[in-house]
Amino acid sequence: MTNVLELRNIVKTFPGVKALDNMKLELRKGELLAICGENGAGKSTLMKIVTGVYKPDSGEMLLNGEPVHIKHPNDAYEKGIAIIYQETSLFPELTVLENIFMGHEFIRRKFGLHFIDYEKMRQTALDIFGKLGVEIDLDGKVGGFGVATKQMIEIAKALTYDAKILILDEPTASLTSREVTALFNTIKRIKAEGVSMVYISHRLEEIFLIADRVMVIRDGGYVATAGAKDVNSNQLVSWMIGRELSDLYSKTPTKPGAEALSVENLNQGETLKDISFTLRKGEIVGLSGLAGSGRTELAHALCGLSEIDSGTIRMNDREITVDNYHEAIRQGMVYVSEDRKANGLITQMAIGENMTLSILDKLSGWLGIRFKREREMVDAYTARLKIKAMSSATVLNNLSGGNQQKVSVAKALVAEPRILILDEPTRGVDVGAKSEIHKIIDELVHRDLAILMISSDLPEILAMSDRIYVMKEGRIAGELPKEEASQEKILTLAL
Amino acid sequence: MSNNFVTAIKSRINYQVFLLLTLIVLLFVFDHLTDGVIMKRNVIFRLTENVMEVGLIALSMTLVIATGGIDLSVGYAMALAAIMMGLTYEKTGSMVAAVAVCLLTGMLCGALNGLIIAKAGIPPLVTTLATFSLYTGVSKCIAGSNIFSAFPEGMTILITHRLFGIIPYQFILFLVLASLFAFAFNRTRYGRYLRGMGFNEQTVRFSGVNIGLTKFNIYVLAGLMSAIAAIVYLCRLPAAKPDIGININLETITAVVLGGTSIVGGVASIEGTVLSILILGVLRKGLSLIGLGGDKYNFILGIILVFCLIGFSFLNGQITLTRKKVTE
Repeated sequence: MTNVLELRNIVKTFPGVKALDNMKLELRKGELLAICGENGAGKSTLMKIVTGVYKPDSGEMLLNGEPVHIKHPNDAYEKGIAIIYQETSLFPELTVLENIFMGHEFIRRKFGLHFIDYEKMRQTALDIFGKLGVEIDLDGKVGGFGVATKQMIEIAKALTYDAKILILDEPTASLTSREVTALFNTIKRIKAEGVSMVYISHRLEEIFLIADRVMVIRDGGYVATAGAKDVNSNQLVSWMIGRELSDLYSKTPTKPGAEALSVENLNQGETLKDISFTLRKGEIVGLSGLAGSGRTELAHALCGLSEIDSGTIRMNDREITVDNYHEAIRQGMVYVSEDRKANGLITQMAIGENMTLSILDKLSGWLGIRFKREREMVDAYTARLKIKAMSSATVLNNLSGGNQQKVSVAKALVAEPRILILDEPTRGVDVGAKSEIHKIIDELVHRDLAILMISSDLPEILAMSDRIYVMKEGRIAGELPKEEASQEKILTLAL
Repeated sequence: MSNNFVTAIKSRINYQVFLLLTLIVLLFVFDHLTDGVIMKRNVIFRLTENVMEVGLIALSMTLVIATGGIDLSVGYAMALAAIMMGLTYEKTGSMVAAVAVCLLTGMLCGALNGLIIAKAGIPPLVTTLATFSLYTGVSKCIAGSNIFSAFPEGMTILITHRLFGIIPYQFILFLVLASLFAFAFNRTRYGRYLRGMGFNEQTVRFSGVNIGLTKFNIYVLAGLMSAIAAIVYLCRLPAAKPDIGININLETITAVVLGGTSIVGGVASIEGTVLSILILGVLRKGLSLIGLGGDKYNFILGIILVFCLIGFSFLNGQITLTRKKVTE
């Protein structure tokens, strides 16, 4: 059988990270291929290469056996490859009909002018929705529909391009079970039309329900492909993990002391539900879970970066209310953001200016910032964290990802926290910097800091944590002590 | 990009030297063109007289633009403040009350801008475009075709009195306030917050700074400076009417951008603004002396503004001669 889409030896690197290495993919005609992998395994990067968002550094891509180069996302559409993202790209203020033909409207000539041929578009749209088995008001504004309907509209939009390959990225993430059933029926109909599909999902049970074959990737590399009927979920999970822990720096033992933070019944809309946990001095508690399970939202809620609906937060046995981040810092709780470019650091400013940004009030006197004291402080932390830079006046843009991340950690440490919340502390840094950062975290916990570490990197969280909480859909799905924790157990709780 | 940036920051100091040289060259050029009028002892300081209202507003505008914002309503807030001052004096006969109402009006104008921008999250450009129309409208409703000129005898104090007979007092006021602004911007934490906001607002928020309050304050300050400018104006030309602020916006923004402040925020310089105000003062007086005043001056301002905007974008790597590769 020929492959409608085939990728060979795809390599893609980002500064400091190899996102995909020697990756391959084979999609047969009319099949549904599921792709599984942990957070950061490279699923999104791979799909972005298929749809022309990224260009691979090397490797081949074959469409119906012919080599192709996808230049940009529209090029992918024109070649019959369509992707449906988790968040829809529809225009809420336009009608369904306008949305699905956006950018490739049917044109009718009249008096030498070009007019949109609404009649022809309407006919085609009705045909497509008929095939999908969905009834919908073509003149309704898209903004008025729910997520499930929007997804159907996205699929219809893809079919107007006559897509032969459809990629679904976590399509069921925000659907109810009835909506999922409806989606699966639609998927089966499209498959019967001969459309090949790539299906990305964390939900293993779904994969067994609708996939023909399953492909597993890990750390940017290809692991295995198997028929969905020939594998079970244990086999898939063991393929998804399986990295050795030995190449990581591990936390050295500490004696956890008194309770530093205790959270009871914390709720925040749909994002956080009934969260309770504790954190002790001299302890690293890992917070695991899939992307979108509410880990970062929990960190923001604790630090007053977002509002909570209910719940109590106790710090050193005293109930506190934190409604802004400044107050959190004052209380000794500091957060290191997962996204240093978006909200952790200001990359156009100097190392020193970044490091002291959250403690300038303490560094200021009658004559403004005490520059000498600031410089001494910055130099001390630069040396302590071994940040490699010409001087504290070096602009962050000129630093490697690892060194930028160290500045991000230093920015938290200058505030002298008692509770440190690290959100993905080693994301996007190279192996060397990673173990240096782990060593720094280990040193900190020996100084009696209480550390809450959010990480999608399972080996990291296993090597560094004393205890691990696993989150799923806004709740704490379980707690695992260090001795009992394993990658399988974490994934089982998270999935 | 990154290396460009370091050079851009270094070149900013060099740029101020360039501005200073430009100022000196312009002085000599116009001195030559006007047969030595400009450099006369009693003329040279008075070159600043016409641009001091713009200068005062430009100081706060530098801070506004540093945060990545802009205030298009300043000139009209100034006109409204002047009219309120004239109206209050007419009704009460009290200069103290008139000045207080003037300052309050300016701050209220700024507070409205700040409230809309910080609380409702409307972009500053749109907000202040709307309020500029609002403030003009209010001014015209209050004033009609009236010109408030019934001020007391000594109102033209800035014309009749000068330090040592040659240095305008508003120039002294400008230098004092400019020093305060430079101190606040260069040496206190607020300056760093403002610059940080221009580059990346979210990071400043994630550093425990109340972004909304900071923005609000900065627009209130802009309104207050407009009111102070209104008082300076009335002490020079005691006639308050709705159209006195008509050219202020263009001139202020030109001064700030010519001074080396980036229109997209983050990079800003009070020193640069002061130098460019002096340059505009020389240009304005010099051009009018050789018969190129009024609209021709505006024409030249427009050219300077466009040239600076393109030039700085070019320097900071936002525009390149080759087509930029689109990367995610």
